[in-house]
Amino acid sequence: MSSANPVCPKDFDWSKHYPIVAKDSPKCVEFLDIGCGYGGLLVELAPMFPDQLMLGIEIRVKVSDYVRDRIDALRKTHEGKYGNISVIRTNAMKFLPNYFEKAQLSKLFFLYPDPHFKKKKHKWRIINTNLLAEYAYVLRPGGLVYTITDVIAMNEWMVSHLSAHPLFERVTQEELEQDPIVPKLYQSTEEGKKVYRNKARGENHGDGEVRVAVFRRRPDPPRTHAATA
Amino acid sequence: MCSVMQCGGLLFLTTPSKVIVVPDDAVGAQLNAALEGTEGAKGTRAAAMGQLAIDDVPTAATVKSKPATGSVLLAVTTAKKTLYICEVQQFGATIKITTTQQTRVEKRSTKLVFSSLDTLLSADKFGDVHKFSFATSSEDAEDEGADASKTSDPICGHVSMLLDLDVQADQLRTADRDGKIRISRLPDAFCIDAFCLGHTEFVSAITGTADCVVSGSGDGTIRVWNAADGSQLASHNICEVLSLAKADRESVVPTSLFLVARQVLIFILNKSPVVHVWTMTADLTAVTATANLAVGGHISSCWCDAATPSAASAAHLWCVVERDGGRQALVMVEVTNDTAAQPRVVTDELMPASLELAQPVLDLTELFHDNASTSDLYFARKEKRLEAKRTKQPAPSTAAKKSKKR
Repeated sequence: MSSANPVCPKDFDWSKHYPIVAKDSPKCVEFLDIGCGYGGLLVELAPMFPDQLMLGIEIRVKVSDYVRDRIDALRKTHEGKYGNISVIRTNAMKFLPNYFEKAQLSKLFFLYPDPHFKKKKHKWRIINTNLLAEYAYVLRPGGLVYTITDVIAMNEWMVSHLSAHPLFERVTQEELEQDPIVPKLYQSTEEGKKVYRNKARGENHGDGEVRVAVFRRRPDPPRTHAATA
Repeated sequence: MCSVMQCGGLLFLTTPSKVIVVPDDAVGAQLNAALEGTEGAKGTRAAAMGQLAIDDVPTAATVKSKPATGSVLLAVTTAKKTLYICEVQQFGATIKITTTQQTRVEKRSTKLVFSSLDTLLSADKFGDVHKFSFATSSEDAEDEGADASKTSDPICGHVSMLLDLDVQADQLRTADRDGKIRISRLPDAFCIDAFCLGHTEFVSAITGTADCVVSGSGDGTIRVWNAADGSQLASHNICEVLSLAKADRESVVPTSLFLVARQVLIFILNKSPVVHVWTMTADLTAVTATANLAVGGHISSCWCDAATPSAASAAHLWCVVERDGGRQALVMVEVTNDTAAQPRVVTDELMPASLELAQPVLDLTELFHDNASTSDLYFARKEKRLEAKRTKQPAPSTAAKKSKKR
């Protein structure tokens, strides 16, 4: 599996990742798990939405290779299933526009993202003002951003940045309760399972409280036709 | 980094410690007399001159004309991260420079552009674009004082060094080291209109009009894009169009690129003594190499005055040319829209030996990407490991250890 990123989305052959998709099929990835780790969320969601193509992005080479092997094994043992999930090894902060067209995705997932505690590393948090413009670009209006973390400071950071961004608005508690995906955020992934294992033992490496925050991508504002700001 | 700029009848020369302003029609002897601070030779008057002292070597500079007051706006940033925004005006024999704002940039700026008469955009090494608003007239500035505590607004960011930025109509175009060009709205820069994706190396320069983007890159191509959706209209391999023998990649990088009259492209290659002119077809898909004008020395910096491409009947290119003996010359080249007329050198003035113009800050050779990625290395090792298992041979590392022990 080569790690070379495509120069633009048209150059990428998704049929190599999804056996259920033909080479020039218009069907495209709609769910994206940024920092998918060992692939737990993808494996949980795959049977829930068998016609949706889902992709995980993982920057660690060994971990993404593990996910590749895990998906291949699942496809072998479960005939005709798991053909709608896959993984790529790349840096999501740099290469999202290389893989996804404008407004292509309908869901973005950020599960237990790295908190980057040190102040000088805040820029490397996966959610920051600059990257929100890129996430808004690949996510269609009405699309959803799901976040979950057990680090309160990280939750507050993500909530404040997404709330402050003109293209995102918070999804209400009522809507969250209707969404079958929300319960899957907590313990589908290895990260999530570890948080609850530690809680059961009475150890809290995070803040002992898991927080979910979901935001909707708003439509673009009308053009002002003036360059002066 | 432009060590020479021209605007509103004035010429701006940047040195490691100051910006010097003289009228752009100052003839050689007048210019040299002014720069050396001496009386002109018999019958020549020293040209009017203004100076702005700056606190360190300049990393970026730009100018914009303010026709209403007949003045020119000047912005300079230095290696000490100081930003000077000034208004420059010629009154007969004197040139007055008023600093309307002196403040700080967070990171060293690689490119500055005035997006309007009261807004300056700064692109930095770390990939961010900051917006600075400032007073529009000198009178306002005197009332408010040069407020050093004014902060800027970050409006757009790439996760990669920004190498060029351009403002056209209601769009901000930004180009980075990873070969990406992002087209965002202005003023709502958080709305991305499109990406122009295709370059396989850093983007060295961008230009364009309201409906197109033209870019040059370390991959040796000049590409044309549709500004509405980022789609590529054309890609021209510079070596092929110019019929150059295969050259090393550093010398085929277009370091300056200007589009005049929508179809005439002027550019300079890295450390080259030639001004290249290409003419594009009306649909922007094909190009003809119209002219190559040698100016007798490497061009270290150049500036084009065609601010409104459709209105200009001729564009003027001001170049700093390195001549023998460490001397620099200021060469002005006129390029007309008329494809039959060749570009011509209008003036060629040797600068005083004491005047040393600022050099470009970024080293191009450092911007090329490394070839081997960490993934490729991991998979190469994994292949070897699996191969060793398949053939039941001891893995290469243990064999090496054994031989070491002996």
